[in-house]
Amino acid sequence: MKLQIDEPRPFKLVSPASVDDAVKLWHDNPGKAMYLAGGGDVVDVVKRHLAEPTLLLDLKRIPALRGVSAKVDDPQPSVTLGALTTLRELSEDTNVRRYLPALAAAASRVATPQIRNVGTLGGNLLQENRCPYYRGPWHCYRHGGMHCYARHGFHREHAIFGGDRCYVVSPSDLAPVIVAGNAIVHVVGPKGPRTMDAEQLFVPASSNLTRMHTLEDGEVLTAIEFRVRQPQQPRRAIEAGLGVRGSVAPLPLEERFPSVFVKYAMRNSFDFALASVCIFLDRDGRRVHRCRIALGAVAATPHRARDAEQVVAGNLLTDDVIHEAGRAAVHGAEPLELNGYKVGLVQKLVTQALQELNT
Amino acid sequence: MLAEGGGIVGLGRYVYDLGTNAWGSCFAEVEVDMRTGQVEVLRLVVAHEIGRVLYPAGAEAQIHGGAMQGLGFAMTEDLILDRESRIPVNASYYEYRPPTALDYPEMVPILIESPAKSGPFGAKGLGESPIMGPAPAIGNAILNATGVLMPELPYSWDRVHHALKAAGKLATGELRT
Repeated sequence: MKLQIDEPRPFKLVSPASVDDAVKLWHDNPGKAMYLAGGGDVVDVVKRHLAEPTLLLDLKRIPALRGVSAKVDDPQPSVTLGALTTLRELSEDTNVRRYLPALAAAASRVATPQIRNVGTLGGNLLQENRCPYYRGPWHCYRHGGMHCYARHGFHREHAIFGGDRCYVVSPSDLAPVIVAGNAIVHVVGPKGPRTMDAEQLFVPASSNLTRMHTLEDGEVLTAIEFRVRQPQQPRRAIEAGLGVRGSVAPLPLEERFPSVFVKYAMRNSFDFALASVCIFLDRDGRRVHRCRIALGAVAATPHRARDAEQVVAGNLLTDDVIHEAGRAAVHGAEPLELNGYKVGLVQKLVTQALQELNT
Repeated sequence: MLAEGGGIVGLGRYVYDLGTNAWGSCFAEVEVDMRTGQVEVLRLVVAHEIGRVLYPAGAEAQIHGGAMQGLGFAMTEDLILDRESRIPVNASYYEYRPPTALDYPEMVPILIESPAKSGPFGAKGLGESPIMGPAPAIGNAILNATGVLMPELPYSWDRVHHALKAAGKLATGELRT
């Protein structure tokens, strides 16, 4: 069969009506089927023959996978996002904007308005890496080869953390948000439903070079759930019981758990991040109790800046703490020849994001 | 020889009139992040002397479009070849990175009229000339801001970072405002 450049191999498109139907169809065609969400990445992957499915299962016709549901008055408040919710819906949803401003900001910074209209939350999280050698005609480690062509070639946008034979970065803007937000990933597969922490969804280069995520064959990412993992009552109750301040009204959720996302790219639109950062705090006024910082596009997974988190946690967000956190965020960075600018960039991003949280 | 053989000979003369040339200049204002090498172009002032201006809105639009092409030429657009195989590693519109509408700096087009004798109604051409200005203007603005002359186009993050580092001007501590 003679194919034109950029012409995919022939495939059949099927639109199952439910997740179970989709999983069953996948199970009946092992190794031949691929799930299709917005198509922004899958279509490109199929056109470049990085994958050659004969069956594409379109998940967009499954209404249960779409939409945002917020349970903010529960004892454990949560916001659940269907995996097929488009990036535009995420960036415009009132609950997302109010309780997860970082997610709304990240969704609004992806690519272009046209792509955000079709691109989905799940698709953005599970997209393949953008390494030009991986996507081009090179037989690199990720294709089963024995060489990384980027290491001594063109690696301006490659990893500064955790590079191990392969130096690709996680290209997703939403990935650092779900990791910093300690979200729960809901998955349905041939063996039934399961959940995992957001951090477990991604694969570091050191553990497996052939995949970017840990979904098993035939599994569908159905939803991402942001939940207040620890009830905020006990500490308040102790304070109230000791009569420190009498009965203190708990802070509104959005003030207690603020979040911020900052991204830098070569262009202000239609571009993947050179580096991005997402920070979630748990705080009273200026005192930070807990802090999670995740960096995007600097490693094969969203990279937790744990040293910086430790600088911030338990402290007031003073200028000294903010700059100390910026310095700590680049501990362990190992830049290559062309991507040294990312070290300064990460420092700048973390500082800037913490300053934004302070205002 | 041709005339002797009965051929037709014509004699013509052309003296190039320098006044037909359209002249232009470009001024750039940039902000350089001394930690990362990021160069942000804040303002481009583009002045062109184009004889009699027949259609001011069209002429200004020509400057806008040309200067944006020049901005891409200066900042991001580059055909990058793999060092070993010489295969392009950015052979797509996304990776070539022409500037987008959101990368527009403040643009100040200035039209200077000085009717030329040789053109129709005193007009001169204004085609690609606004493309030429931004790259050298931005390069000189970077030199003016940092003291480092960029040897090569485009002035991408990694190149500016590398040049600052080589000149020992890279800021490594925090920059407080």
